[in-house]
This record gives sequence, structure tokens and C-alpha cells, in this order.
Amino acid sequence: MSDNDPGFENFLREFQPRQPRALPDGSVPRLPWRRLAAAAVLVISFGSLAWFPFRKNRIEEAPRSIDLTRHEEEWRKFTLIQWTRLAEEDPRALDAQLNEASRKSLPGFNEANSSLRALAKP
Amino acid sequence: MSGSKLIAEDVRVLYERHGPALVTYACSFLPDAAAAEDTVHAVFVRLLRSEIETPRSPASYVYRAVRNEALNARRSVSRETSLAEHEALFIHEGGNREAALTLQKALSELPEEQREAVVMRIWSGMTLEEIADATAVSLNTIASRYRYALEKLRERMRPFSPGRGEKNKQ
Repeated sequence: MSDNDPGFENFLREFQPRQPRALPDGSVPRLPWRRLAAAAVLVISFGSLAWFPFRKNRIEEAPRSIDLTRHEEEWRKFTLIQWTRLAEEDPRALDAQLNEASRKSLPGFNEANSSLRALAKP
Repeated sequence: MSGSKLIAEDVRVLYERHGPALVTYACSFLPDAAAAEDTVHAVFVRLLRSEIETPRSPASYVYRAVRNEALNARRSVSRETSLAEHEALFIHEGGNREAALTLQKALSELPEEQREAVVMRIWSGMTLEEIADATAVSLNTIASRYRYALEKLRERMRPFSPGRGEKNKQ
């Protein structure tokens, strides 16, 4: 229908509608949650990369269980005869010696490097 | 362009191309130009912040979006619909303010569907096929609406038309 009166159509086009205000800047956040999610993924990734080697070192540095070999040697420096003699001559000394030996042989939990503490560490 | 996203640059091009005509179009449904501008702005800002598949006819799409938005806004304000008579919606390139106001009033007196057709065709440069697509009516109907609208406008603008009236300032 535009061929009815193109002159009049062109005349109408001499009138320009008023310009609306500009759209917001391109920096308007488009789906900001995507950026947040991307940032979270990066933080988790780098955090994991940094944490695993650190954790591995901690495990390697953690004290092992009590050096049983050393305590066994101390225990064995008393022969059965010596233990028997000690029991006959001084039962209190025997008790004290057994207590001392048990502290070193059984898993302790009071000391910083005790077996139970080592096991309790992650 | 099917399958691609409507990116920010596309939206800005659409806005530059059709924004002014869309404000005039939205005035068909809203009581004042400020509300119409707010409506058009809201539609394009929403487009900027979302990612939609590029429509087959982006111009038709934004016209439909503006129409829906304007109708929603009109429900909320529930005022009489008319093109604002005291706000200048048009600027004549020859500076004929009287002609601009006459055109504005003549447009406001057109039936809504005729006004829609002429705004889309003249100030948005859409083809009659695109208008038919945007308004979901047949091409013949759009052609009739457009023809009737032009006849009425021609009659009202006769004093200002080239070579037809003494008030023409060209």
C-alpha cells in the first residue's frame, strides 16, 4: 500500500519521534550470578590445589607411633633373673620399674607426640 | 541468525533503530510520553540482561514486547488511553511545530490498530509483512488498516503537505 502516495509517506517521515533516553551502559551486570559462580569455582580449584600438598606434608611430618624398638631394648636390658631378684628384694622397686616400663611401652596420650595424638590428627 | 543469541550490541542497534517509534507506539496505550518511554526502556533493559534466541524478526519481537508491557502498565494505571496532547512527541525537521502537533493529534484520533500500522511502517520502517507478523493479523488486514490510516492523516495534514497548503514551511 505504500505505493499509494509515497510523497505523503516521505512527508510523514519528516517528523521524527523524540529520542528516548539512552540505554544503560554495557557494564550493566548481565547475569551476575554467572560471574559469582565462576569466581567460586576458581577459588575452590585453587584452594584445593594449595591444600592437598599442604595436607600431604602434614601427614608426612606427623610423628609416627612410639619408637617401640628403643623401648623394647630398654625393657630387655633386665633379664628374667634380674626381674625375679628385684621382686624378691624390693617389690616396690619392681612396681616402679614396671610402671616406668609400661609408660614407655604402652600407647601414651599425654605427650604431644604420643601415639593417640598422632592417630587423632587428620 | 536462528540459533544465535541476541547479544547486547543487537539490542542497542534495535533500540537506536526502533526506540523512537516504539515510544510513539507505546503512547497508543499509555496516558503520557514519560510512561511510554519508561515502558520501552524497561523492555530493552530486560533484553540487555537476558539471553534470548534471536527472533526471526527482532523488530516484530520488540513491538510485541512493548505492546504487552504497555498493556500491563495501562492496567496498573487504569487511565484513559490517548496520545498525550501537551507533550511534543514529534519534531519536524523543518521546525514546523504546528504541523508536528497536528500530526500528533491526528495520530491520537486514529483507531489503535490503524495507529499501530502507520507507526510501524513510517517510523520503524517495517514492511507490511513484518507488521502482520508482529500484530498476528493477516497481511490484507494490515494493508487495509494502513491505507485507512494514511487517508485520515492525509486529510488532517493537508494544510502542511508539500504543495498542498499555504502553511507548509518547506
